Amino acid sequence: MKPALLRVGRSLGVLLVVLTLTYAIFYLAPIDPALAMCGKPCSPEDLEAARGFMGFDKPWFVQLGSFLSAIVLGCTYGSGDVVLACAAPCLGYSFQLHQGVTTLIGQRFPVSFSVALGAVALQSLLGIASGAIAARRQGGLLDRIVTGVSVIAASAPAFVVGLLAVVVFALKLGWLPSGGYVPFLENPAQWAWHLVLPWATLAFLNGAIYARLVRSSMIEQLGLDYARTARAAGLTERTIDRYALRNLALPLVTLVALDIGALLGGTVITERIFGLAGLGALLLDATSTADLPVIVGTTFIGSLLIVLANLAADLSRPLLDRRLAAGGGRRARTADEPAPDTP
Amino acid sequence: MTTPDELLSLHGLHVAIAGRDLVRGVDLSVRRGRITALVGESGSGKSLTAMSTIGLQPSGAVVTGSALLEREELVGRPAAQLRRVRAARVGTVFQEPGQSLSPVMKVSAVFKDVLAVREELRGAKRVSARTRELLTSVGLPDPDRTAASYPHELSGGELQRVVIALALAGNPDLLIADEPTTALDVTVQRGILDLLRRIVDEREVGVLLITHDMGVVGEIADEVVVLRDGLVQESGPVREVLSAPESPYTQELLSAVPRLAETLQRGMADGAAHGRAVADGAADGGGAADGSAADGGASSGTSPDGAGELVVRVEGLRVEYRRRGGSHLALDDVSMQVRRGEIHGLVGESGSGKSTWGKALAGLVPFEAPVMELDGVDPRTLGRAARREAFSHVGLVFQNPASSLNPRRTVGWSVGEPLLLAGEKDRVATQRRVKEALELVRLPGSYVSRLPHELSGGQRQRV
Repeated sequence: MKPALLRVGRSLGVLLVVLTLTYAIFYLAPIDPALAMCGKPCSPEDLEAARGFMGFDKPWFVQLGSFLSAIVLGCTYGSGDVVLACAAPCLGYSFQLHQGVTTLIGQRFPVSFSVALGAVALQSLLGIASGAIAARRQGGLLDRIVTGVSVIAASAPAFVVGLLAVVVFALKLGWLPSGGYVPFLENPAQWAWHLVLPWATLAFLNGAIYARLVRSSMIEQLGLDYARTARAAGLTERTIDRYALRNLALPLVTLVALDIGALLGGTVITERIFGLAGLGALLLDATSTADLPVIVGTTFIGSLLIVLANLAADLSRPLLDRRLAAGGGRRARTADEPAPDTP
Repeated sequence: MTTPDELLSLHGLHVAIAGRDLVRGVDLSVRRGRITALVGESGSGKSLTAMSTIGLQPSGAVVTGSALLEREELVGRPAAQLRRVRAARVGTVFQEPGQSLSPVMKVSAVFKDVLAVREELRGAKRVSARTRELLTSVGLPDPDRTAASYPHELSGGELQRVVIALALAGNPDLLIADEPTTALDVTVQRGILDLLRRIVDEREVGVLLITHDMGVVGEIADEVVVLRDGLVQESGPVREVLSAPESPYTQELLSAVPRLAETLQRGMADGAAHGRAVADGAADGGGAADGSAADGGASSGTSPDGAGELVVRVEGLRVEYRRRGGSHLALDDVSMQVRRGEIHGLVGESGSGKSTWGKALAGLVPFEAPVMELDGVDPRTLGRAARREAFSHVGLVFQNPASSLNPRRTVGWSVGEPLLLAGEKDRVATQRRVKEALELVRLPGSYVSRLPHELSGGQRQRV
């Protein structure tokens, strides 16, 4: 499994690049994190002491190095009688919230996880089903509805759709709660009930991409020779749909994985609209208060999740299409390319 | 006209798509234990005739007339009933075995679905036993391995046998074979034709064989129907039609069949070097996959008068495809010379390295050779631009005309681009040369503005 190892290595490389860029914020941003901690009035000596305590007085590569080593080994801030310990995996310390970034993320992650899980399930289900139905009724009324709605959904801004959903379904009709989060372990029914609107909003926005992809690929697949062979053999159209969808597994899994990765890292707008305290809201708050350690930590976790999801999708590709496994990473020949060995 | 063993009979079958009559009143019959060949050039409506009979016409096609499967009318039946007829009584084999099966499914998975519908067979054990039986019956030596394979792991001949085995599931009465051997190697074709003949003899099925190849017709068909532009030109027993064709069109089709012996004779009589096919000993690179050296370099056919400058001179050509986990020696020590005005035939099975040889000459694959000269110059000694210029003097014509052209570009663009790449700057001159080139292959100059899909397969290949 050499190619797999190579992919893991490449993913680590991507992570390092993202982290370095995020870390650059510390230096490019016109903010001094030490100033917020220093207190008022802030004498230059106090400021220096604060910088030294937080570790901001060292060169950038030393800071990046200690950020990385803290993830594995943990770290301590300050020395002497005032010592702050941050246990591994330490993603930094928010001197504004007086909490470790890891702890903060740990508190917020269940919310983002709940949102992501339901949204991805709903959007892939709705998107794939409506795309397949549209493909089967190409040119018909249902097809036109699906295509039309998906154009709107794909181009609508999230805050418009989200706010509309809140206004219509929560405020006017009063069917659903307008927001808030109930932990799953506390009350599973309330957990789901409170998440219906955010799920539906995200599914509407993201599902459009699924519907369009599935529609056009299904039309293509249903016209291929294998579908004709199956039809000629007397197989039912339902079986042929199954064959076509099976052939779409590869692009779909890639899309789903990317969405899971992106949603797990938090949704800034959706969380804000529905009053959910997830990673997106954490990032947004940290940005407005210039809490740099939190910004770096959440960005790092967000990109880590996307990279992991991507990696999982990459590694599953040969399982979904054996042609990819046979070629040892070489792209499989597609239907209309001439075979390399024919004259 | 109706005989007791008549299985399928079409009377005045008519198919129209978007107001255009593509099949105009076809009569034909298929008898049990017999092969009826439906012959015609591409676009004559032969596939459409067969597909319309079993309800697989393209959507929007209007089918009228009559198609009786043992006195049971098929035209006008609802789709669901036609599906049941197909499942129970008709087996179909298509042209491209490589694309006839879903690429992401094992052969056994397809058999599971097909057997469930055609034989109402369920249960893993019974299904796999029947799969094995069917695969064995089409001459596949290792049915278990075949069943456990994905389509890309099987050769074209094996795949076509698998498709035939699928078509035989449910013991159909009628087998429709739409160009079953066209996409296959000559050596593999032989086996598939023998298999079809054996199936007909053993199982008493009737076969409707669709082909454009009169050679295939003469070999295995009993009856033949010649179709042109949706009209039957001639029909009757194969021997009569082939030995004494009445319609001028049939005569034309028959004369299009290349006869090896005749051509050789003519070639000897003329004694001319030009346009003569020289069958060189082809390098057998097939066995080179396991690293053993390919034997027999292709030797040059020497031109009798020795005239004509040397266009290509290669000695000891060697091409190795490297990829992760091993390499594949496609050509080993092949030498050849081609003079201006000569046509050389490079013959061999698929995988023997014929195409690689051509690609190496066009500089499309990396190669090693002690001597390699195009127009007396070794392109490897040239600089980047000059090297591309030298290789651009080699023109390639590929097998599949449909996918050789960019579908979104006009013919004129596709023909003109290599000229531009070869350094032609003047647009007007380019256009003139594109028209000249088209006229050279007998296409009207106005075709420059056509898109590939507006041309027939033959026209595309001319481009």
